[in-house]
Amino acid sequence: MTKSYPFFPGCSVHSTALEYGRSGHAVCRTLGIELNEIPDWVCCGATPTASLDYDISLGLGKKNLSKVKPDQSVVTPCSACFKNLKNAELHLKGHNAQAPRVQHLFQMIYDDVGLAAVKSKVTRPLKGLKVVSYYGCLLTRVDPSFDSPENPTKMDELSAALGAEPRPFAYKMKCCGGPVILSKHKLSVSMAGTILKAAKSTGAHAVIVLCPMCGTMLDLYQKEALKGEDGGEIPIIYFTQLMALAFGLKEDDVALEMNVVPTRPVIEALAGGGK
Amino acid sequence: MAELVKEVATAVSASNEAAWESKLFSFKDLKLLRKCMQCGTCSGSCAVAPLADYTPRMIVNLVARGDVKSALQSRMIFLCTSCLACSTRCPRGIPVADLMLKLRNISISSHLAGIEDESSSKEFVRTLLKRGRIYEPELMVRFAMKTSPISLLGLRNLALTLFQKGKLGFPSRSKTDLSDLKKKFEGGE
Repeated sequence: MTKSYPFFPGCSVHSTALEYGRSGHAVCRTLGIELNEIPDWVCCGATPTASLDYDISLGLGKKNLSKVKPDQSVVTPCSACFKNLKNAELHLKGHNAQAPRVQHLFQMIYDDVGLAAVKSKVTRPLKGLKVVSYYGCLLTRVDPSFDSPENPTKMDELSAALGAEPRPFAYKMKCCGGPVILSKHKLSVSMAGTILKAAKSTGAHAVIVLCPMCGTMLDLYQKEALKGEDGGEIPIIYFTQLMALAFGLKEDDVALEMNVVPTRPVIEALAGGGK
Repeated sequence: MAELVKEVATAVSASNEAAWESKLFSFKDLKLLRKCMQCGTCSGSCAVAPLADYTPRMIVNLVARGDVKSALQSRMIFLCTSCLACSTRCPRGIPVADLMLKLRNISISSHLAGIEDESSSKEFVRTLLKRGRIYEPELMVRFAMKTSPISLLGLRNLALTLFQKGKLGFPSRSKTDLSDLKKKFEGGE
C-alpha cells in the first residue's frame, strides 16, 4: 500500500540540489511512499530572512503549514527548511493552534519506514564503500529527540544497513558556513574547507549529506575550498543517492553524474569490493 | 537608533518590566540572560568566535548589563551562522543564537549593519517576495550588483558549472498571497 506525505521541497531542490530531489522521490517510490509537493509552497526564508525580521520568517512558515491538514506530517529534505517549518509548528502549538508535524526526509525514512524495510530493498549492497556522515547543524540541534546533537549516529546506521562502511568523523556536526556564503564568502568557504580536509583524512570514499545547503558548500565550492591542498577531491553524495545506488535504481534516479565533484571513486570502490 | 539603544539601556538598568516588554527583547529574555555564569561554553563551541571582536559569552554579558550598543557594533553578530551549537550546549539554557538573531534584526532596522551584511538579508527577502521562491543564481547576481559588481565575473564559473551539470534550473513561482509580508518588509526599509 502506498503511503503519501505532503512534501515541502524547498528552493534548492529545484536547482542546485536537483539530484537530491530526483533520488529522494525515486527512493520513496521504491519504499511505497508518495511525496506530494505542497501546491504553491513559498520559500521558508532560510537564515537571511530571520536575520532581517524574525516575524517575516515566522509568517512564511505559518503560510506553508496552513496549506497542510493538521493531522498530516510535512516532509522536507532540507535542514534549513526543517528548522523554519519546525519553528512555525512549535510557535503555533505554543499558542494553542493546530499545526501539522514537520519531519526531515531522513527522519521520516528512519522513523516511519525503518531500517529493516530499507534493508529489504537493497539489491546491490555497497560493499567496499567507505563513507563519513555529515549531519550539519540544524537537524539534530533543532530536534534533539531524533538523534544526539553531539554525536549523532543514525546516518551511520543507514549507511551500514546499505552495506557501506561508515567511518568515525569528528567534524560531522561542524558548521559548513552556508548561511554566510553571500556576506562572508572567504570565511564561509574556509569553513567548508576545514570539514573537507578532515573528511579526506579519514580515508573515506565519499561524504554523505542530508541538506542541500551543506551539499552546495561541500560540493559546488569544493574546488575553491581545497585550493592548494594535496590529495585531490572527495565526492559529496546525498543519502538518497546512496540509497538509490544500493536499491539498484536506474542511473537517472541515482543521478550521480549531477554532483559537481566527480563521483567515479564511489563506483570504482564498489567495483573493487573493498580491496 | 540612538533612542532605541538608550531606551533598552534604561530598561535594563531599571529592570523595568513594562519598558523592557515593549522592546525586541522580552523581560523573560533579560532574566534568562542574567542567569549566565560566563562559563564560555558558547564561545568554545562557536565556529566563528576566533574571528570575532566580542565572543558570544561577551555578547551575552554586554546585553545583560544593558550595553546593547557595544553588542550591536560587534562583528560577532553577523559572523554568526545560526548553527545553534551555543544554544544547544548552554548549561543554563540561554538561547544564545536567538540573541544574535535579535541583535541582527535591530542592527539592520537601525541601519547600523555594513552593506554586505544588510544586502545579503535584504536582497534575499526582496527576491523571495517577488515570486515567493528563491532562484539562487538570481539572488547571487542581485547581491553582487548591490555590493561589488566586479564580483559578477567570479560568478561566471559557478554558473557554467551549474549549467554543465544541468542544475541551473529556472525560476518558479508560487501563487500564495504575500502582500502582508511585503508590506512589513517595505515598512521596515
